Amino acid sequence: MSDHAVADGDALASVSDVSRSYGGVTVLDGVSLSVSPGVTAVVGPNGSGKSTLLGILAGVTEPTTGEVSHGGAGARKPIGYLPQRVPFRDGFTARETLAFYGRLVDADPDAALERVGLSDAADKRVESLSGGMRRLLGIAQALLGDPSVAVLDEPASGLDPTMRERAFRTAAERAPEGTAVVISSHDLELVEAHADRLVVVDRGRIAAAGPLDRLRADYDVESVDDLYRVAIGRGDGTGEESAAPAGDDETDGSVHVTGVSDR
Amino acid sequence: MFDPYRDRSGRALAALLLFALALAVATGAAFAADPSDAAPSPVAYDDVVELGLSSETDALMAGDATLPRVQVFYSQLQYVVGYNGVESFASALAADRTERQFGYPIAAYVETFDSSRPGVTDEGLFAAELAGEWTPASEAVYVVGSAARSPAGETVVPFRDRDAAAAFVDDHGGAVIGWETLRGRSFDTDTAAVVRETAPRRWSEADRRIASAERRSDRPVSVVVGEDAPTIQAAVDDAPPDTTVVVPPGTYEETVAITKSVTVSGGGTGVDNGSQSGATRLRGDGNGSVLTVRAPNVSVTGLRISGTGTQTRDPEAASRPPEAGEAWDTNIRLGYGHGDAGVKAIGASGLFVDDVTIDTEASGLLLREGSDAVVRGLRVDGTEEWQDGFMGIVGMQSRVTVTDSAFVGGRDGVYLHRADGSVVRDSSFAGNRYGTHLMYTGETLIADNAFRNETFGGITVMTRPAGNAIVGNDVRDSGAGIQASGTRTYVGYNTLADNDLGFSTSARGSLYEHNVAANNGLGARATTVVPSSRVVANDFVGNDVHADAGPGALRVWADDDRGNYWEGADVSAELGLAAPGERAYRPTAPVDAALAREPAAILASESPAATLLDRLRGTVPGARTGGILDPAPSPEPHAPERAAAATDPDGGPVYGDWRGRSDNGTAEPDDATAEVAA
Amino acid sequence: MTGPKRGRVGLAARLRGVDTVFRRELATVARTPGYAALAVGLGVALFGVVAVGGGGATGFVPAIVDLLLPVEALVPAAAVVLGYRAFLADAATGELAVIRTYPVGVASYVAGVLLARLVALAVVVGGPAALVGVYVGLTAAPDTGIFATHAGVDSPLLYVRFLAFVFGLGAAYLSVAAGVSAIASSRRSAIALGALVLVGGVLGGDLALLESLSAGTSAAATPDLLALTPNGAFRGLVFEHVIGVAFAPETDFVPTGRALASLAGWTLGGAVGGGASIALGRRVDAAIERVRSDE
Repeated sequence: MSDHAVADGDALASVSDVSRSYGGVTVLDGVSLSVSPGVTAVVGPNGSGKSTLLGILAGVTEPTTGEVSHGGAGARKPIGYLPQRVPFRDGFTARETLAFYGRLVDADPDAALERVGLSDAADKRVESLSGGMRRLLGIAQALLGDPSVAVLDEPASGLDPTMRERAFRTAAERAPEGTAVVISSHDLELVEAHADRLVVVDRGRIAAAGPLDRLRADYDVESVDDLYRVAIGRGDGTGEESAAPAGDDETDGSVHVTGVSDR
Repeated sequence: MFDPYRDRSGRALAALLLFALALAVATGAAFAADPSDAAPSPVAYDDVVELGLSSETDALMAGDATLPRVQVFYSQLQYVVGYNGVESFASALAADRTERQFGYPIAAYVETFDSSRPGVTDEGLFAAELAGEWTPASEAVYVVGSAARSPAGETVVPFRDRDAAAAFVDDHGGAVIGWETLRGRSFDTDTAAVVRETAPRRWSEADRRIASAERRSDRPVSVVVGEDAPTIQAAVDDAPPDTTVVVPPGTYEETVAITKSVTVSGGGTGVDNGSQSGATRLRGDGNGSVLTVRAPNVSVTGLRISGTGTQTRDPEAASRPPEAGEAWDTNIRLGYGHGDAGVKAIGASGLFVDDVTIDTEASGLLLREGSDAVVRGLRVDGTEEWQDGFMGIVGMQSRVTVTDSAFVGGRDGVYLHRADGSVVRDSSFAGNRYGTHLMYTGETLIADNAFRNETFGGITVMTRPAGNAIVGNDVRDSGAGIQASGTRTYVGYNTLADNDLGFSTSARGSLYEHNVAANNGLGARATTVVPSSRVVANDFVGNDVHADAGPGALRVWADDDRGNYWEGADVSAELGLAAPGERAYRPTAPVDAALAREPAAILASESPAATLLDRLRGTVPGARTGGILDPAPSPEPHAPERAAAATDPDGGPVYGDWRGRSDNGTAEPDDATAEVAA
Repeated sequence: MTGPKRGRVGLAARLRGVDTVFRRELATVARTPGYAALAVGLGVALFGVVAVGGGGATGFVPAIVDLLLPVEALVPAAAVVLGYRAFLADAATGELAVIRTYPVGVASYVAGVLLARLVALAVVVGGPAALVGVYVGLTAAPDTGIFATHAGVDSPLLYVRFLAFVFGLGAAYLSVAAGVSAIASSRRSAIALGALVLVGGVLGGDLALLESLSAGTSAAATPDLLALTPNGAFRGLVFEHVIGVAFAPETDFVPTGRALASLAGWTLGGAVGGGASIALGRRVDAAIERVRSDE
């Protein structure tokens, strides 16, 4: 095992050489990643394996091979997770939904609602909430109990721009308190505005990873948008070698992102 | 709205938890408690449903004798069952059928006589001066084999204390045993099946009585009326005993009293040769009886009698309550036995009435005080309206043997009161109130008679006698076919058609088999509250309703795998939906009842719901109310020819072959039987 | 759950987890109008059976005789309806993945869900059945008052026993249906699996017994074999401890302990199966993928 695989002292969660296939089709192929406080954005085309990676990171998806480890053992709720599709059971109000989860970790559902600005909708039933409000509720859920890692799978998808911004901001607000916030998104502008670090996933592998500033420098691009294009669109598309930035000494084709504590 | 996570709902949940705990405790208690534990206390015996021996035998009704009684609480039966005679209860316990129908006894009390001054009457019957006390059967002790007997035979006398029992044994013999030992003993309790076996012997016994009467009446001629004496009375007065007074054809207007053993032989009723010119007519004056017999062994033959009085009974006596020291039914005897009749016999045993026709405004033949009589070829024409006249034959405490006779109009064709051992056979009845009416009369044979247009019914047996055999009769177009109460009654091989009611199962511990109920309004009615009879192998054809049931526990009408034939019940077998006899039939259930008339009802009765419900229905029959269940209906009629004949509007009477079933039907009756029957 | 590693969870926390899941499930059940309709329908069916059967007119035992066979079909059906989606619902929406990130173990989750569903069963099945019992208790009377009457062995206690066995039967079916629902992938497959449980239980067990008898199994083994299926155990217990009380005491239909163990076993088995499926399903899935990719 490469020494890069060992997370530094700041890493709150890490996956090491994880792969996952569904029905024999490989979705994630030997990925290693560790996350530390701050906002880590995971980007990549549809079907690139982002959601699987996030699921494995959150501990809710079992990798076919590879290791997953979480720091922060001993916390009541080490990880907060919001799946891509907000899953709340119909028939309960927003407040009741959070009360259920809050009761499991001794958290106040009203405070959580307030945090995401849903106090006014507390007594609305989940199924009658708008898509955006549902996402906000999902974010509130994921952040309940102050997890050290919050994994949010596309919290902004399908929302109008204002809502997107609100969703992202709410999630990112946790970062300064020492939480590792992992967000997948297709909205590169928001990523640019809020992310500290970036992971580009393509065809089951990590095409690029690292602090946003460093990646810009490494790839010599101005924006995340350009970075994204370069990281996944360059070369013949196999992405294996081309994905490796020049400055990194990777030999196995995957990228280890170690936490950067320069926040 | 219910918020599942607030404290208040926490309290609700705590309450739910407590409730669940309470339920759990209650459930635990339900299993810990034994429902068969609570033994009910004895009830007043008047309130029980009586099974076992009849309590209305003469000695018992008169209060001279005592039958030790038992009251039993069965596990499945809501009614308290009373047994007259401990041995009846012991036999019931030994019978499989009892447990199947009623469950097991959760409590049983016997009447104990420790301080009732028990004793034995001069007739050898057990008697106690005071009422007994109720004691749990298992705690009582029993004296068996003592001198004390019941009207039916051996009796067991229970005591609470062994000392009292020992004292009774000192006086009357026997041995003291406990309940368990008693249970293990077998008792000779007669059953309806025994009555069935006895029926052919009763027939033969009747033959012998008739033959003997014929022999008796064949006496030398001593006086001929018109030649030797002017009137019949004068001739009778002149005739020495044991001779024949000949009464040539003609009309004689007089009333006659016979006080010696003679044969009065007329020229006939004129019916045989088609004209009445050759008849010997005896015409009374319209007051009192025409012919009065007060001597044993008198024969009266070949007469046409008319001109009776119109008094049917002694109205004063009939409504008078019995005085102290009188028999309990004195009023009936005095009342019914004291009307006018064509022939009136008082204490005239051995009377033979042969080939006599009586046209009467009251009774035809009145017998009382032991006037055991043989009646052959009697025809009684009564009044048009039954209210106006009285009985064809009144038999009060007189054993009557009736054969080849006819009874038309009037109140009852044959009315017998305490006339044990009587036989009524091969006769016809029409337009009466009842055809044959038995009161307090047991051990009779009513066989091969035809009844038509009887206002109330063909054969009725009232007031609980025992051991009657009613076989091979044909009743049609009447109010009811056969209504027999009592115990140990055998009703078999009768044909009942076009009546309002075919037959009722009022008799307890009885057997109803091989009857055909055809085209009646109601084929059969179950009446006793606690079923104790067997009803098997009967055919129900073309009735509006095959059967219904009064209040009481479910009646199971089948003997193991042998049930009755119910027209319509075989539809499911015909359609191949069930093997013959596989599906139970409930004539009292609306759907099954409809099957008799509408085969399409099978679709409802074959529904899974109906099938599920039917499946276990017979499981606790005693605990179930009302209705009749035949778990094994017969796929085919038992007597198809008789059923066909019964439904033929032009057909004559049919007599079921009740002798054919019996192996010893033609066997020579032994002396013991003759003795008993005599 | 088996998500992120957690520290040791104390008993109090476990109970709180059970309690929280229980409350959520109970609220879900309470807010599903279909279950109320189910209870009403069941009540109508039971009252109909008692009314048409006629046994209820005289007492509890004959009423139970009438109810026994219909209940053997109706109660499993109601239980399967209550259970067939118990563990599927959260899995299908993906909420189970979220719940896995909270400190509530599989055992607590399964216990909470099943307990709430069992409470629902007690209300949906026990409620109408208890009402029928009250009705019988109020209306049952002898046909005629001419004679002295007594209750025989008939008693409300016997009906309470019957209700307990009915609940046991329903619990077995509910638990098995719920357990099977954990492996269902969609509502449609859950319905199919639930139907399989229902038919297999109501008919299959008895058919298997009949088959084994015709294949030469000793008839003496019948009581033991009968006790193995939920329906057989239920029927045996009702005959042994309810209806059989009206028979002579020495009746012996089914070994009580074995029948009770059978009902409890099916109930626990369903729960454990469901739990195992939830706990291990992902790993089994991953292991299969591993084998596949190794080929």
